Amino acid sequence: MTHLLRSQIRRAFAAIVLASACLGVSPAARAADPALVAAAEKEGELVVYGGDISETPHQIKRFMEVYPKIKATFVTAGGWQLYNRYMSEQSAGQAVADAFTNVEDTLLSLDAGGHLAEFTSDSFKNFPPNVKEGNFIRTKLGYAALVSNTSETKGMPVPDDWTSFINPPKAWEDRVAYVDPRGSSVAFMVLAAMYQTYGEEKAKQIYIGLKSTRPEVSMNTPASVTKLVSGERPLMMYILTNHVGDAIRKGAPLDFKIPTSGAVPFYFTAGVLKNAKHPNAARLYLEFLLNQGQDVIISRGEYSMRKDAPAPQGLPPLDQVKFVTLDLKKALADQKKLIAWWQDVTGIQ
Amino acid sequence: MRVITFIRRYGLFGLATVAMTFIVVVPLAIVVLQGFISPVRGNWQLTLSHVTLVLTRWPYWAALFNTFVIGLGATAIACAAGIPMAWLFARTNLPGKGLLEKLATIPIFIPPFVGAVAWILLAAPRIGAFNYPFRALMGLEMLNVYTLTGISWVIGIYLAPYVMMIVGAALRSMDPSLEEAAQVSGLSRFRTAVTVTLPLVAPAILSGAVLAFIITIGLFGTPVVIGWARQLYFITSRIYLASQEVPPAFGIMAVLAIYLIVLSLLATMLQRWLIKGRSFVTVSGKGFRARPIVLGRSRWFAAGFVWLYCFFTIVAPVIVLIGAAFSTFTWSGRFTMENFEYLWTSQDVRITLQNSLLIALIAATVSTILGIVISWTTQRTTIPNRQILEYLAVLPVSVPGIAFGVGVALFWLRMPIAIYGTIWIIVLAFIGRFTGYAVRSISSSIVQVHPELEESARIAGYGWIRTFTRITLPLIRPSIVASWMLLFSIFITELSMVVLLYTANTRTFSVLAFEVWNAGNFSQVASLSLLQLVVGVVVLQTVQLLWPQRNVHG
Repeated sequence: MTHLLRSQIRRAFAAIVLASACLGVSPAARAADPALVAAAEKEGELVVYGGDISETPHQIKRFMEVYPKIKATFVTAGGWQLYNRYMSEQSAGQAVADAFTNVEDTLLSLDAGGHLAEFTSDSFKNFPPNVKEGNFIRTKLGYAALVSNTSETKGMPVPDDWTSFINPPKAWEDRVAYVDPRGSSVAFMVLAAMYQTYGEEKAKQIYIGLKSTRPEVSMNTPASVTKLVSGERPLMMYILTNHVGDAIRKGAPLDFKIPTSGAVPFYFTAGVLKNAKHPNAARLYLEFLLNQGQDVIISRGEYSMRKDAPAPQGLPPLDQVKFVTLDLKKALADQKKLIAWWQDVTGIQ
Repeated sequence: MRVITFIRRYGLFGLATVAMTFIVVVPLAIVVLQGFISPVRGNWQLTLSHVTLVLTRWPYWAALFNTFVIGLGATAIACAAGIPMAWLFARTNLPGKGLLEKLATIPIFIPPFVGAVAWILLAAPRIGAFNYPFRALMGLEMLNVYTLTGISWVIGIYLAPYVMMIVGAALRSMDPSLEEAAQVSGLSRFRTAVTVTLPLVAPAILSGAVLAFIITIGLFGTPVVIGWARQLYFITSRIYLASQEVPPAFGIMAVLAIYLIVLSLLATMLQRWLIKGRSFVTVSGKGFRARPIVLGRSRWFAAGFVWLYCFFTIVAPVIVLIGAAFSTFTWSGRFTMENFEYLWTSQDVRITLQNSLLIALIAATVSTILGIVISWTTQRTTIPNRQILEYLAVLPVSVPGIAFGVGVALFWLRMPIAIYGTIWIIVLAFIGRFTGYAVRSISSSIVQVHPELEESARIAGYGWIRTFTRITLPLIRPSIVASWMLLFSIFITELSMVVLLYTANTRTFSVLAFEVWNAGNFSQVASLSLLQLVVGVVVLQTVQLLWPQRNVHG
């Protein structure tokens, strides 16, 4: 009897440990400051501008489960669209957003413009030191790599590096898709990474090679992913980890490949807006993103920033992924020049 | 006393003019002004730099050319399908016409970008379902939706119901005795339709054609979803690109919007010129009872034509949508109920649907009332310069939603009244931009009503309100109902303006569908579109039950 009880307790304890390990932090670390919670609940509302279109609704849903007294709403769109919207509202004195989330480019610009409030958290201890950059936090990591639809590329060579596009085989004609860097933050980052990694001449050869395949140049990444999984465009110059995880989970026959030169890294970030109407709710949301929000990221098959988080199913651990160098601040400073260069090379005006 | 007379005479006109000034002129003026000003060290200065830039760069000329081509192409297709269907439903003994007419109206509830995505799955090279037989038999890809013809086709077939509704309303209000006389005189049914009926409903046909042209050139979803992939850019795509710049290139957006305004004005002027100096009165004091034209064996051929239309616009796309909604992704071959469960478990779906219905019901009703006021004032009063009201109403119809939305947002953002962030900014934007549709539809119907009917009522002692409600209103009711349904269908799926004007609390159903599409989840978009279709059909059915579309008996 005693043995049985002990065995049951051991099993229960093991289950709790396992669950805690999966969730990554102890329950104590997951509770936000009660004073902050009380202040946020007193405000009662939260408005999030979320550039991560697929994740934001899930995060907001979970946030409202954890904090049912706060009515959280959101607007999702491309990062720069949200940025423009926020700037218009802010300049007219009618800003409605409290927190802003997107890949790093827009948050860097918001911070440089003095639009973000200082944010700090005890939860930082569960993350690597680079979790905080300026006044915003990094919530998850992603990277862009190569991908092909295996059921549509049987017997066909597939790219293994970015430079594979310099001399593309004839079989790739009308089969490649990539994304217009004028409309997509990540497409711009990939363009900047090509330029910074390979230099102007080789990057030019990559885009001229791509052009020779008569590619589809989509307005955003998900539009290309839809065509990748349907087989209409079975080769994609890049796919993001946050998209590939979801597609693979649904059974899409994708071969995700880290380029031999390295993948293009990027962070998803979040910040509290300086003139937020509900600043405590916004802080609580960032606190949530560092705690329960990380579970949402993990459950969606993405790379959490938390130190002990496992690699997503089907994707390699981060220490096994080679990355190309990307100086994002420099890329942003050169944004207009780089876009003009891409237009010149590809002839797309 | 004089004041009271003045108010009675000009009150409604004045009120409508003030309302149209605030909801049309000011936002438009803001948009146009952006084309001629530029910030220089914190101050605004007049400039022609935006105009010069647009006029001297070939991509903008190419966009104008492409826009013009699909404008003409889609209009031709919409008329080729819409006019015969209107005639068949209003005038003939087409077998199963009650059901067919309802079916043929359904496509207006399919959001343009969803129709575009569905047609990519039907007619794209490599994966298009319609290409499979050609590929299997001949090894050829016969259809390619990624062309100007393909884009015109996709837009045109979904605009056909608009032409059909406007022309159908006019046909139902028309005294059929003229057709009967033609047939008694020995004309065949076909010749009667071509030489008698069509010329009599010319104002409605032209209204429908101009409407189709104007919608097409201002359309955002379809040209972007299909055209962008092959670098086929249109004026609206260019406006979208300019809006993506940081800060947005308002100057370029404004000049491109002016292009569309000019194109639309040209179309409207052409329409006026074509019907100038001709009488289209067909509803007079003489009573009539419409008898259907009896089609012989050709009625089966005619029914086949309508069924074919329904196949291309509803059956095939809906099969694609249902297939997609049951799939984990298109085309995984793995099936799931997840996307349907989402419809009734998601709070997002419930809230956005409520917002959409509320906005569409209010805006469609107010726009229709305003349309009646403007049409009646323009056609039936002698107030000096009354035409200005119609011009004001029609002016923004051609302005792309994205540009008009910018004007509305910039205006209300700076107003002390708390409209921004509420559903009312969307309602006002809809009314401002789309009342012209109601004016076009209702005006073309009022033109057909002989003033002698109203004059008789006035002589019999009716005041103008009673004359209007007892005489004019019942006679033009088909076009009012058609106009309301047209506006409702536009508002329930409208995206290009809403996408700029919604805030976190006022997201609409089409915004939700667009967000989900943006997230790459086409299977969920498909389930949302099916729900939108069902809601649209239920509302349509309810309206038709309440106000059946029957012929007018004198």
